[in-house]
Amino acid sequence: MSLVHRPNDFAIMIRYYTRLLLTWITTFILACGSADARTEDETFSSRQLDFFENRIRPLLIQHCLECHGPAKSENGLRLDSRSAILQGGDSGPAAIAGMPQDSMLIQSISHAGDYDMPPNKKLEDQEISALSQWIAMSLPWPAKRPELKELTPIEKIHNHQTQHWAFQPVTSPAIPEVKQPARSALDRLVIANLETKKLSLSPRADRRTLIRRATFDLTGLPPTFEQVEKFTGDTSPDAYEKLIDRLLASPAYGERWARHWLDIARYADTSGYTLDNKDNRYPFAFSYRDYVIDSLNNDLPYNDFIREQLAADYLDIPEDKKSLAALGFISVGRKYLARPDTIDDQVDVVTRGLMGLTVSCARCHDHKYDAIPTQDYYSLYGIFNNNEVPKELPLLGTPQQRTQFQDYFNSLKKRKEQAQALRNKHYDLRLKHIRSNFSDYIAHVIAPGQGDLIASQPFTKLTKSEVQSNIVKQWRSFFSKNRNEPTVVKPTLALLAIPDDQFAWKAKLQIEEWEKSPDRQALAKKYLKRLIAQPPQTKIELANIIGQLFSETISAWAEAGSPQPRTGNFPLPDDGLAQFVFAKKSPANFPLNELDNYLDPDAKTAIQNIDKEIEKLNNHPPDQLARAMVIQDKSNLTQTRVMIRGNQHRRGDVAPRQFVAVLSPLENGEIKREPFKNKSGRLELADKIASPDNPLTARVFVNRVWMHHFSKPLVNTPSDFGIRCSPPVQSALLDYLASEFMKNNWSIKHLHKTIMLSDTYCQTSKDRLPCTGIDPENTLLWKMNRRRLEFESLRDSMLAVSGQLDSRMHGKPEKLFGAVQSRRKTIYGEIDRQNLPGIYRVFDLPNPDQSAAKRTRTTVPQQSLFMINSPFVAAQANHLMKNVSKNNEIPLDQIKQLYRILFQRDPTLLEIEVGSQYINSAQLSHKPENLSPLASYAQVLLCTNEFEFID
Amino acid sequence: MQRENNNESSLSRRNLLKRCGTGLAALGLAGILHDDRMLHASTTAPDEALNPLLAKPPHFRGKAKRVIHLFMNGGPSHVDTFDYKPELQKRDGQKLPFTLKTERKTGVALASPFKFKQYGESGIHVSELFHHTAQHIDDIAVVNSMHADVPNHEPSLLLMNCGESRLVRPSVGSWITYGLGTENQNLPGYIALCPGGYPIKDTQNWQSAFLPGVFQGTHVDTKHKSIEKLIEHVTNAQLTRQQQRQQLNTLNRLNQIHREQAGTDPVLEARIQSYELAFRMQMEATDVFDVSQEPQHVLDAYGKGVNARQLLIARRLVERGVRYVQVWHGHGQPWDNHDDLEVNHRRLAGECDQGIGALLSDLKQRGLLDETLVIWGGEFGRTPVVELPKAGSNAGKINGRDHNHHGFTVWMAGGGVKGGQTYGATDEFGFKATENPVHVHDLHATMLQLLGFNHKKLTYRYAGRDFRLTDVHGNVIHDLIDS
Repeated sequence: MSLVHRPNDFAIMIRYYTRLLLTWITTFILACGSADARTEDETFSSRQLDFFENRIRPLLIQHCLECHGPAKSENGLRLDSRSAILQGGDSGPAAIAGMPQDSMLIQSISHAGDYDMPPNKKLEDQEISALSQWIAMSLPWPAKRPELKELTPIEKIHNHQTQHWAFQPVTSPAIPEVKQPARSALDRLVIANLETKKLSLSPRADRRTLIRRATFDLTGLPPTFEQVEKFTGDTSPDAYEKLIDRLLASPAYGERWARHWLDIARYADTSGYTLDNKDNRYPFAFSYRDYVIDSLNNDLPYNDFIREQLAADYLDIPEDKKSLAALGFISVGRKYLARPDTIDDQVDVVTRGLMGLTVSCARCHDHKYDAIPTQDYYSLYGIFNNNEVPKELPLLGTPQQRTQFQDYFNSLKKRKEQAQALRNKHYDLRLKHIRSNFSDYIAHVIAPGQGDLIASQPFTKLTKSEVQSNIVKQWRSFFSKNRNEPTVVKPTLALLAIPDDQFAWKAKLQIEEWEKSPDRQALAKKYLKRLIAQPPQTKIELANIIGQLFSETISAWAEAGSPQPRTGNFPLPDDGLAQFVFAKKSPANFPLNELDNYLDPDAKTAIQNIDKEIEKLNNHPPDQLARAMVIQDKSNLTQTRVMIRGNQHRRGDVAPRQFVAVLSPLENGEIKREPFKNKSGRLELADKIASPDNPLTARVFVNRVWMHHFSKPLVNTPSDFGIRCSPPVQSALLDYLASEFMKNNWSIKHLHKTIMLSDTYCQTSKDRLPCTGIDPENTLLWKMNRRRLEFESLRDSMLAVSGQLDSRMHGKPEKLFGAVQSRRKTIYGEIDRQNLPGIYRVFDLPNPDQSAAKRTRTTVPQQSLFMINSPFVAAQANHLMKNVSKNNEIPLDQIKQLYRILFQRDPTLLEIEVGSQYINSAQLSHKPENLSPLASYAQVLLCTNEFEFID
Repeated sequence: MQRENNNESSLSRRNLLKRCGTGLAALGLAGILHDDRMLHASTTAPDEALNPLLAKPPHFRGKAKRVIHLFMNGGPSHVDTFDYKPELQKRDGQKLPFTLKTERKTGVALASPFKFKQYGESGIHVSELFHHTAQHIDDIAVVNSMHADVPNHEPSLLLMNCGESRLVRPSVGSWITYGLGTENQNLPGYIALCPGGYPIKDTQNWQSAFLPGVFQGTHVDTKHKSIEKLIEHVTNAQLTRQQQRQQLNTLNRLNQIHREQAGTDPVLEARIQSYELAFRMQMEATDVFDVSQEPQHVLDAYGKGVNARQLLIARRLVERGVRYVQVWHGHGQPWDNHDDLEVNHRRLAGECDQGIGALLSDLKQRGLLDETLVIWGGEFGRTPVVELPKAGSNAGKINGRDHNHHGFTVWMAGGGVKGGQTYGATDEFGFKATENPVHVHDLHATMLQLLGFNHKKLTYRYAGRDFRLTDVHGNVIHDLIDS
């Protein structure tokens, strides 16, 4: 199907992805009078046919064909082919091509004509609207498939693979000839589009504008006055290219562009909500952020960048192990309370972030639009579900670098040993206590709630306050779980069942009976012997008998040199008692890991305190210590099954770990793909994504880069290139950039240069006629777009001009605001995803819980409140004031200095006048507690549009 | 309706109107556009959503213009407040014929220690805990058949606030400010009042998720009284208002000079405007939180304590056009009375009942109630049976109730709600919603309906999908709406 757009078909080029847009399209077609009836064999555009396949075909099948199809043709009408619809039934044609309002079909389904169809249920508004659009488009219908049948999954994949623009291989487009002079191939592609509308590029911006634009673009900071002077004075022909090279080589480049990538990677320094107030910090998330900064600065090819972020652990690992930090891409997302949600986020960041494919939509059902079956979702799910976070994250840095942390590791080790020692000590104490006081505790089991009675018994040793309620609880639970234990518990329970007033004589009878009975072997011999020797008179006495038996059993073992048998090996001849006393869950022999259940509150607190210290040490390592937030493959890989409707308790077919079908080749009606073989398959997945044959990866990435240069992407939905995404107006440009990008070894810096050296990039940002009328959105790129500084650039620029910027790179995040104001770049600010500082949201930082395709851009008063009232801005204004008043006492010179620092130009006479007037009048009302007049003037300049916008 | 960053479609409204000329009206399609609310999208710059908080009309005329959500976080017991169960009283201490699984082990029936009485013409039973609120019962629709999904705080809070218990989704208030904007640009459009800190799940309760950040709720810790602790950056420590005015005048002059060179650009204009808005917000915000401006009889009517104060603040906020105010009883989960329910519920209701009653009177007197939807409830209710002791989870006093998502009560008043009725019912003991069950999604659908939205059409495109508050669920409960 042809993908070439007819120029007069501009509106139809827009994808039909909302009902609204559909309405627009109809309106446009109708308004333009293009409502000509087409003939049956007329070909339709692929977009029109897509629309039919996705919106109309299912509708007709679901609602109409039962009565108006091959089986039945009510009223002589069939709706299963285009010609049948146009021909109609007994009441005349069902549709008139291009004229939905006059078509009986629309009248009937709108319940506005002679018929109300379908008879049982009115269609949804958007369904009616879709059918109207379709008729307005002259009922697009594929020529080869006149009959209506639901597409098989393979057919759907075939359709998408052959028809959807974004799934076509990336090829370098032919570079058109253009009338205007053009610097580069990129420009010729842009100009060719402009010329179809008789438009042209805007003139080149002046030197000062260019250096400001490029410097903000690549570093997020303003140039200095000296840099601007030098550049405007540089007459060499390659002055501009040298500028771009210098900026690309600056470390600030990586910091600026890493932030763009972190939006996609939904980066944060915390894991989200935790139960029981557990520390939710990701103490080493920053190593991923630093990895991104360094990779960009080193111009790591983008395909390697992808491979490392998905599978660095499969690749060669350098001595300092820094590439392992790349795996943070997978692991810095929110940790949901349910694992499937965490894995879902990982599938989402990989597919939407790297390929612009919304695979996560297929979690509960097949994708509603794209050819992504649920099984494909679980194929990818299976890859990430077979990963785990290792107990200890790998330490970064060379072995020499790592030695500096010896003290820290020693103290950590010491604490761990202390904790262990404390545990062992309390374990021994508890065990000793339990083993020395059997009779006491068993009395509490036998006579619950009778503490006074128990304390008054001659055989008990503990006072009421010495009895530990949690140990009583453990004994009770042990006895109740062993109700049928034959040697001690069962016979004891039998005795306890006797009413109190008859106990003495009935117990005796029972004991005598046991003695005679043939199965008495079951009852512990020693126990029986004891019962016979001194028949208990009251129930409580049983406690003493059993307690003594237990003590003796323990002593016998101790004498045999085996005080704490743990293994269940019983070297002594045994009548069953020992097995019981030393049973796995017996309080007399509880395992160390159940110590918490036996501790008294004080000991528990002591142990918890030291555990907390260990956690604190783990979460607050020395500043320079970095670990990689890796994931690793599980040693036992498990097979993943589809979760039916996303429910993890309802499992369907096996989903082999493999790539998605729609991006795998289709040969003879079969999808050619192999299940991944290498461990969880992460590297194979990475290779499929970072492949020149993948039609999405390069396109998606160059579109993102373009978006940050022009503040507007070429494809409006940067993380959704699925079938509901229309081909961009600049599709040739997109493909050119993508193919150049791959040809140049996926070099991101080369891509920047390709874009930034073009005339298109260097245009002025001014409006001009007639372009504003013909293309008000600047889709055709007849000017540069004016941009507002994002929050990071705004804050960093204020620090830069005030001379306060701490330009140290890397390392632990800092809180930006609060008691101590950080002076570091905003990218080093701590991002707590659970309680994201309000100021971040106010300034449109995206939600760090989901991969963000692009930022919203809002203008709200809270942003201005920050500018006029925050201590941060006041502090920068103060520093500015100090800097300019150091050597200048004359206000005029100070104003001039401020303009040079902030705007890299000299003020006009009018601006000087406005400034002096302000300073003078501020002087009049000045009081000691006020911001000084000059500082408050500097603050005004920080608030100006000239400071916040880039031309 | 609007797609992922609606601001950047290649066919902006301006562009479209230019292309189509009169075609729109001629074809009668303006109505559809109106339904889709695109005609109310930014009319100036196609490229930037300038101030997305500007007031916008909904899909159709809704009686409610704003919302006050009184959030009894922790889960108030419905059988002790608004769900009268005589049968439960009779069976006190007995084993019920059935029990349902809740978070913890429960035992025998626990009669309500509180007295119930009939109020108003409607004669609805309300417990003594809310006798002030009950004076307004004829304006209140008591929904006794609410139910949620699970008996745990975290997911239930998210479900009640964001319509989804696990994943990150925008809160109700965010959806509503996204749909309606706000009427007073000098104040945030969506405010969450919570004294002392955050509830469980923190700021996620008022998150905007993938909606633009401006639609996130602004948290105000009403424990504080001084304005600079209530709203960030709303005061200036170093300059007086007058000095700031001078600053802004100079700023305007400089921006004017800049405009002459840069050309007229709505984005630049918007920035200029936003400084003026910010300047006014300083005054208005300071003003609105200062309840001492109220006459003594109003202060007396609301009563004492932080809840009384924040209920009065809520009235002052909606009166000034704030779209959505959520009033949390306190940080953490105050109503979560696993033990000592009688003592605690009495104390908690004592803290807010008088204020709620006063708020309803006050709104009514000022003619605001008709347009203000007031909602009361928690994330779930509590069991009619007693909670059994469990080490580490309660004090084991055997005089409290466990969480109950099977059935609970929420009430609504004002804003087009048909008052003086109970809707739906739990079984005879109050365990499970049996008659006309109302899921949280249904409550949300009904709220949106009252505000003039078709809950199926208030959508936002994100990650390739049109999301909505009610996801794929929700039925409007028309019986709750005064027709």
